[in-house]
Amino acid sequence: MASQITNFQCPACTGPLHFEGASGNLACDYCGSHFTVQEIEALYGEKIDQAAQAAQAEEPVESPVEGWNWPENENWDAEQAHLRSYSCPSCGAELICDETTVATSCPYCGNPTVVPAQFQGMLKPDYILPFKLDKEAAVRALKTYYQGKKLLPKSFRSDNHIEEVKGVYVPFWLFDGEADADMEFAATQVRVYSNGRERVTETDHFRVRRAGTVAFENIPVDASRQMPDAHMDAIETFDYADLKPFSAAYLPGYYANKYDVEMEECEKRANRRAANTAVQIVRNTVGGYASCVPVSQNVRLRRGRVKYALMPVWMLATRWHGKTFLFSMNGQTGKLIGDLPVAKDLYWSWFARIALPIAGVIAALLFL
Amino acid sequence: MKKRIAVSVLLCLLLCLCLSTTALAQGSEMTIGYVTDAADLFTESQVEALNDAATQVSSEYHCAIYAILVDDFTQYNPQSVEDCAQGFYSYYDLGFGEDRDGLLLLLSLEERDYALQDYGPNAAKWFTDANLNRLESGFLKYFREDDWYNGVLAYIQGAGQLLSRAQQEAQNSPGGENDSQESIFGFGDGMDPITKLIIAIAPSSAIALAVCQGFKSQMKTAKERDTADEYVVSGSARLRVKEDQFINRTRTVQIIEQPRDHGGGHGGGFNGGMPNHSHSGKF
Repeated sequence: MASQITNFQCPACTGPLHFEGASGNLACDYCGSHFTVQEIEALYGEKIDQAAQAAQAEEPVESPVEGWNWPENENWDAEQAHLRSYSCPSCGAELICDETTVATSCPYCGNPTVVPAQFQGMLKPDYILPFKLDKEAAVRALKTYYQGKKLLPKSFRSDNHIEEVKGVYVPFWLFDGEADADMEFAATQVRVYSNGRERVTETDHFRVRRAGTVAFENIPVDASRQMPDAHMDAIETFDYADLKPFSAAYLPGYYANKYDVEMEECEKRANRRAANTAVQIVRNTVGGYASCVPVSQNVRLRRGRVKYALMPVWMLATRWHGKTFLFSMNGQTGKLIGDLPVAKDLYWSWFARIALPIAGVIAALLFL
Repeated sequence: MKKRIAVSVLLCLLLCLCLSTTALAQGSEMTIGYVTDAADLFTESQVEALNDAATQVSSEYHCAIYAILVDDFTQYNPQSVEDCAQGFYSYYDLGFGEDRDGLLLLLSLEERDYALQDYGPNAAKWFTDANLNRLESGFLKYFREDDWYNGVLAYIQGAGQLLSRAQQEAQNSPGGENDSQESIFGFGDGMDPITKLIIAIAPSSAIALAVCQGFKSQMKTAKERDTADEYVVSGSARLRVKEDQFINRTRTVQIIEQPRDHGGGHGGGFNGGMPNHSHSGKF
């Protein structure tokens, strides 16, 4: 019986293959062979289809806890409902994954593994943006990120070590659309002149109305509950010129999830962003006034095409003083973000170093 | 009688000179007291007593209190009693200090006209319309009875009471004008040490706090976005409606205080000697 998951193995030596961002090819960790995406697609296309069909035939998917007599526990039941179990085609070990997992690696043999059933039919992403930067680049970026942070505890730099670096293809909805903003403003023009004895201020009051439309393309909203929205927003923007039609051949070596936030839910966030920008654009068309205060606004949004894409993100986790710090790096542009701890002693030390000299100068002026 | 004629002629002459040509008046050294009786209503001792009272109030509150009594204001300025009062104030360079703060009461006996005007930026604050109304009701009752002395005395005392109350209120209010002037121009002169310390610490702490908050904001870079500026299709923004409708015009006029002309006697400056408030009527 065909396996529900597929390993991408080197056609030359059967070693694990992984997608290499720098070359845009798949490389073998063992023999160093390189293969183009098209070559791997041709080799593994049939295997992927068979794995997807096997998954469909075996519905419902087997549970990792089947046959065991576990005590009744609602939390465990809920957790269990979100897990899937597969057999690694390389070593036969049991792989337990989240129900959204599209790509992972076998914890026993290390072979990159994809779950074709997760990207078949309606679930198939329209596009994928391949990784350009590798793990070393992510680690380097994190070290650089620490530089120049005046309130970063010294021990965070020295004691902390990176616990985990994961390249993840994060599911995103990309929204096209149009926003129509109709706004009214109360504006004034002011003229001041003097006749020698009097200073005259003339204020002309206007009612200003502006209405216009603006089109948006590919507003990204991450569709994974596991990914913090603030992180995914902050690593924008992606260069969409590199978007490729989806192929599983880009997945080996990385983790990937399918979406678990529906498009309708994500659309709200995209709409809010589009509306704010439309209002700002229309507001900027009002010029030549001394003051301009919005009185009313009405924004209508029309949804256009929606695309489902996987975007490359490096997730880095470090641990310091028992707390985990998560960083995200755009796997295409290298933009890295993440919250760092603040050293209170450094904060107050800087406060004193700035405040005291200024206070000293002012005091000298006042007392001497 | 001689004195009355002499003062009237002199006032008339000088005011005419002021209105017609400034050059002719350059050499005059004429000054008038706080109380000028050109209508010859008071005895010398009464004038002296009233002058003393006005001098005391004026010097105590830094605001000159004037009373001028004439037979007929049209001898000095035919236009109106208010213009005549303004002419006196302007021509005689009246007022206290650099700001020329002052209050002038002009009584014209012929048609029983009076004008009450205040000048200068500080007087504008102290003598509001309501205060002038209150003051008028205090002295007009005497003039209606032809009790000139008590009328002028009530005017001077009433002005003193108003000044006392107004200045007390200004001092009690937080951030009164005296405090702010000291802190701006005096570099701490007259300030107590605690105030100086607060002034030294507050701005420096604010600056340090702003800088440290800037450092802190560098530590938190994961933020949700509210706009989609980067995803606007180039050239897609189209303006459908562009209406600018004029509604109305409002006009505010502010009197410009003119610098005093110290160059030559009475004929020159005080072009902007407009009163802050001007009350007039009959008694």
